[in-house]
Amino acid sequence: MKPRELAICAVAASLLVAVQLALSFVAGVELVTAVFAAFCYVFGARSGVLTGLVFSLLRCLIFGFVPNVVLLYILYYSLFALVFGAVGRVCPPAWLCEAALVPLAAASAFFAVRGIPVSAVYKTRVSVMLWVLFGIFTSLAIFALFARERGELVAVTSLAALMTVLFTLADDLITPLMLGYSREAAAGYFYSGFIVMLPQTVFAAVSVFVLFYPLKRAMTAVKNGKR
Amino acid sequence: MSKLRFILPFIAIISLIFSSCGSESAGSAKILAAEDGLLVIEATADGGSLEDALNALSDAGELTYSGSSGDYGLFLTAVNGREADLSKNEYWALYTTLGELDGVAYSNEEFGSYDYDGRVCASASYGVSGLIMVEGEIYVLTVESY
Repeated sequence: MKPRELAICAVAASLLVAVQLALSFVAGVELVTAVFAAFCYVFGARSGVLTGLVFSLLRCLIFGFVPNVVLLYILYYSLFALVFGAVGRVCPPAWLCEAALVPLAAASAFFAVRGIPVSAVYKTRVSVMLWVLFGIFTSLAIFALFARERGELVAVTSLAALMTVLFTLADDLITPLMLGYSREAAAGYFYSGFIVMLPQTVFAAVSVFVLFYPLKRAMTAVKNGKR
Repeated sequence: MSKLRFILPFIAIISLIFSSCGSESAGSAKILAAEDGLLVIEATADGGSLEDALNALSDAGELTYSGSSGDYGLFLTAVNGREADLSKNEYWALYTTLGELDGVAYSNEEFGSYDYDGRVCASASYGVSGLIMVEGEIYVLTVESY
């Protein structure tokens, strides 16, 4: 790896920490997904994995060293970098996007109708979020069918939403295992995770859809050494 | 500009949805104990969240509190002037006698428990914003360290 590439990874990791810190005071809002997706897309999986590792460790200086969270971040952002690095090389076909979007839309509608056992305070919020997610996934699926020239945007937006869901699911697995939760406690942890996962998924999908092209342009300019 | 015309209403609708889903009406509560690093509250009526009850008690001048907003709602940092000292890894822990209600587990003894006046309060599964007020149930806020 060349020194310039290393320097770019270091700056990108710092930028991710800054973005996470700046928005950590606003519930459900995060831009790490949009920034990191564009970075991995432009700079590739190798730079992405390195940046993800540095980011996962660097953020501990601010947010504290919690072993299960560090493990979650390292695993998640490595996978994230591999996925978006691969999409940057070969854009997935529309049918693959549909294959990801349709189950996500169906799962959102299923849980919205069935209901999730969360605190009564959050029931309405969770139900609304699930319907919003259903709307987003359905719209993206329709968009993928009719706007094939924008297949790249649909692919990264769908994957960003899918990865955000995976982040919470991975946390639902890693944290109970590492902290030795019982089945009941793990189930409670899983359901309470919806409160954060739903707004984050909505925001990740919207922010990636809106910011992907501007971020991609900026990062391509950095990669090509343009001012 | 044409892109903005599409995006701005979309963001406005999303924001409206987020803002319209706030907490419900305030619940009634009374303070059972208020000491240095300890606050015990009993719900005297059903409805609202513990945060609503803290707001009502604060408005009535019975307590003061401060905190910051996070992914799980209000994160308490100080109660009655007693701040959790982050340099000593302190935080305001929340326990309650409210267990399972309507299929929702509001606390779990597995995460810890606190005895108050012969009643066992289990560690809350939600923060002050997500914990509902149920008449007769006790809510304990205490400073702990990890």
